[in-house]
Amino acid sequence: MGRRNRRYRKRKYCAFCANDNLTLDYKNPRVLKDFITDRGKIIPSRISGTCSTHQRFLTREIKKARMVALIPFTAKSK
Amino acid sequence: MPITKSYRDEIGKEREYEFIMILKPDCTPADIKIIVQRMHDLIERKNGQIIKFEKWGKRKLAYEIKKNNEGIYLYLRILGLFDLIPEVEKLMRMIEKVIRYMTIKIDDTVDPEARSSEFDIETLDGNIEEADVDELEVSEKDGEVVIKKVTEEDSKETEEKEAEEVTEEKADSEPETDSTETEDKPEDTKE
Ligand SMILES: [Zn+2]
Repeated sequence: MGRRNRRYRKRKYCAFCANDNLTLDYKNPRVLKDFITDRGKIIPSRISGTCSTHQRFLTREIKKARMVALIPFTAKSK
Repeated sequence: MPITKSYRDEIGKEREYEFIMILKPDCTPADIKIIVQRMHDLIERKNGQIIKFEKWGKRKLAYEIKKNNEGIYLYLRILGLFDLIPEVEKLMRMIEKVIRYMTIKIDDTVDPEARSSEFDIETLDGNIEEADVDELEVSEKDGEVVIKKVTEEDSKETEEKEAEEVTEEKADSEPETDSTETEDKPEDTKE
């Protein structure tokens, strides 16, 4: 019914605004991993839907996590 | 009169740091103890204080560091004045077993009197004996970040996550400029 357009996708929302229990911290690689590609790159907010405030925190925390090898810089495809 | 380096440094206030170090995977509890003891002695000499010590245990590294695929993670909270961390990092560079370290300043003005320490060098052995972790579970409670270690049994159930939505399109842009709050980048130690 209504929207049948296959291009239509669910409206994106910021995962951190929507969920207070989602702690954005470099020590939490499990959360950060959802916001990097399988090659280790940071997913831009226009794709993930993260708001600009949280995206800013996110990139900062991802960069810290990379320094201590909790998440990769770039994955070499093995 | 105490020397201050920055206008933010108030007299009688210390800075609070998070400090992470990664040790070679073959480190024994005795090795770890020696390293923490040396660090503790240095910090005490510089009138600082370790207020928390956690052994996260052996974890797989996301990338190879100095030919190691695994490392033993230690996490500390330190109070001290501005001149403490350069000394601590100098020590880290001298210890061959340390393959990576990172300092993050989390507070500029901490009243050391008002902070209780969970760390006691006398009970260090118990902390070091703790089991290795597979994952960390971080949550927030009253503005404090709480770290819970997850071992293999309890991590099974949380495995299934719906992360498909974001991976549909490939990300192409990634800002290269490093804007981390990281005070000092870990350098490769020269032996
Ligand atoms: Zn948000």
